[in-house]
Amino acid sequence: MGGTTRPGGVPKRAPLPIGDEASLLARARSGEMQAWASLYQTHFPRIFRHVRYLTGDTDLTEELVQESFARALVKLPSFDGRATLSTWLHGIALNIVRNHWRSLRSTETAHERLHRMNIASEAAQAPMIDDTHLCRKKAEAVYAILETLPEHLREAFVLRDLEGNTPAEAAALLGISAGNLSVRASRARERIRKELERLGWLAPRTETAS
Amino acid sequence: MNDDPELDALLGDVTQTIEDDLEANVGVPDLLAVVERAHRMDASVVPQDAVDEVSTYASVISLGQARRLRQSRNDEAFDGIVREVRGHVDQDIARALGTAPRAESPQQTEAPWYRKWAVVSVAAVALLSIGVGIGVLQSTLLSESPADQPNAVLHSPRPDDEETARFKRGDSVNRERPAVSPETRTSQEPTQEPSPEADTTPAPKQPDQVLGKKSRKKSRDNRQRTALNETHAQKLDRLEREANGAWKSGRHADAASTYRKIIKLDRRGSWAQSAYGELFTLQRQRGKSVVALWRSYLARFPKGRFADDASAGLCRRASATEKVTCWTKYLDSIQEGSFRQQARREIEQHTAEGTP
Repeated sequence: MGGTTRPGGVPKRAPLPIGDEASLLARARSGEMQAWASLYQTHFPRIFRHVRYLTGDTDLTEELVQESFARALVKLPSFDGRATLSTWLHGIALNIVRNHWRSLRSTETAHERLHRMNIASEAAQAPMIDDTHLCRKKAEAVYAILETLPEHLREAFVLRDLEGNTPAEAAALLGISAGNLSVRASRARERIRKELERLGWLAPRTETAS
Repeated sequence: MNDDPELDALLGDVTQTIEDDLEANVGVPDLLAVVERAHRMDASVVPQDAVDEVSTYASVISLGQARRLRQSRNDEAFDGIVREVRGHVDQDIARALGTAPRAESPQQTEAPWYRKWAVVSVAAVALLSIGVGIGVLQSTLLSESPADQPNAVLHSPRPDDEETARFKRGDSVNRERPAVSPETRTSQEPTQEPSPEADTTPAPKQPDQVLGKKSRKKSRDNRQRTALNETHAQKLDRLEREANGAWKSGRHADAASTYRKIIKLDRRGSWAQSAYGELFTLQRQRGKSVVALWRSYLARFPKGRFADDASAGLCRRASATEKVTCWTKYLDSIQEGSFRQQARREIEQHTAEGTP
């Protein structure tokens, strides 16, 4: 069939052969909706996954992915083909996620969340909480911390450490060098670790080191 | 600097959580919503024509395609559940008929001849007792021409009977009709589909009583009874093949008519649901409205496999004054619906615009 399944079980369509994609793109740009439908189906799973990792929220992801493809369709006539369609779509999705983050920007909100995470981390000590619940709480904690980070650190960390892209892949998606990407991801890790220690999710590193 | 196994372990849990979420919800591509949204963003680039065109695309996956997808998946867990359900159904039927449960595996089906005969004979007795009822019902249904009465069945659903029967037969699992050969299906149908009237069957005869007859006659009777049992499933299968063939060869009206016939004939529901699915797509291909079809489907299968698509489709086509009510009802009735985001957005938008 040509489709592959990633470890998480998310079906991932095999990318279209370049020739096919180019001809579909040309047809889509001339307004042929069938061609756009085909491109949309091919790229939807990966964009959905990408945005899901960036936002940490499934419902929000559905909304932002829909907006991403709608915007892509509107911008399609101006797509110059210098980047691949996949990179271009990822870029649009990333911009929409950034806009969403900015619309929510409020340190108060982020701190409120972290406060809630603090309570949650205490609850996590209780022995009756099962593994799944605990993992979910960890995810909530990490995403709450991510909200307090600057965008450029947040993106680098998500793309590199959570989504599991190679430095080169993550750097290409962000349009920066691989070195720069690694620096950002590393800084993000440091800050996330400190917060996780403060919230009681991780033991201070000094203990581990000694 | 990055050598931090504790942090990596915690992040591994986070990643696993997201992967689990992604596995449970990979997102639902909704092309129409995307194009409508793009149209709202810039109607000069995405004109109404584009929206109209996309709205004619099938939002419901063709069952032919769905079956191929299922065949390509190696889902042992699901198959196991189906086998278990089949086992329970067989046991129920066997209890009703006073026989041993039907064996599942080919090896087990090699039961002693007298046991096979006993099972079939007792089933035959039961069938004879209900034969008149079924015969009358089937002949009535078969005599109705879908061309004459295209919506006869669609307007006479019996949701209560259907739901009850489906529940009794464990059909909720069988909604995803396994892709099996017609031969396999027909051999399963008789035991999986006891008529509700079977409850009124007199106490089955003991195998000893039945075994007293001449074996040759018994064998012939046996075949006849089996043939009688298989006719319904075989007929449905043949009709489906005819409909698919007609569709492939461009005889759309014939195909639609045959799918309607299947809907009319299949009281169990799984074939009817398939036929509905194909009809949704076919009607759209023919440029015909599917609204009436969605309504009739929902009346018969309120929790059916296309209920989500059909409900959302009706809401999308609802008038401005009905949209909020429709989408609210959608959210209430289909809590895990694929279109809940759109539902919330539509409600918000129309409420803000002051539409009731």
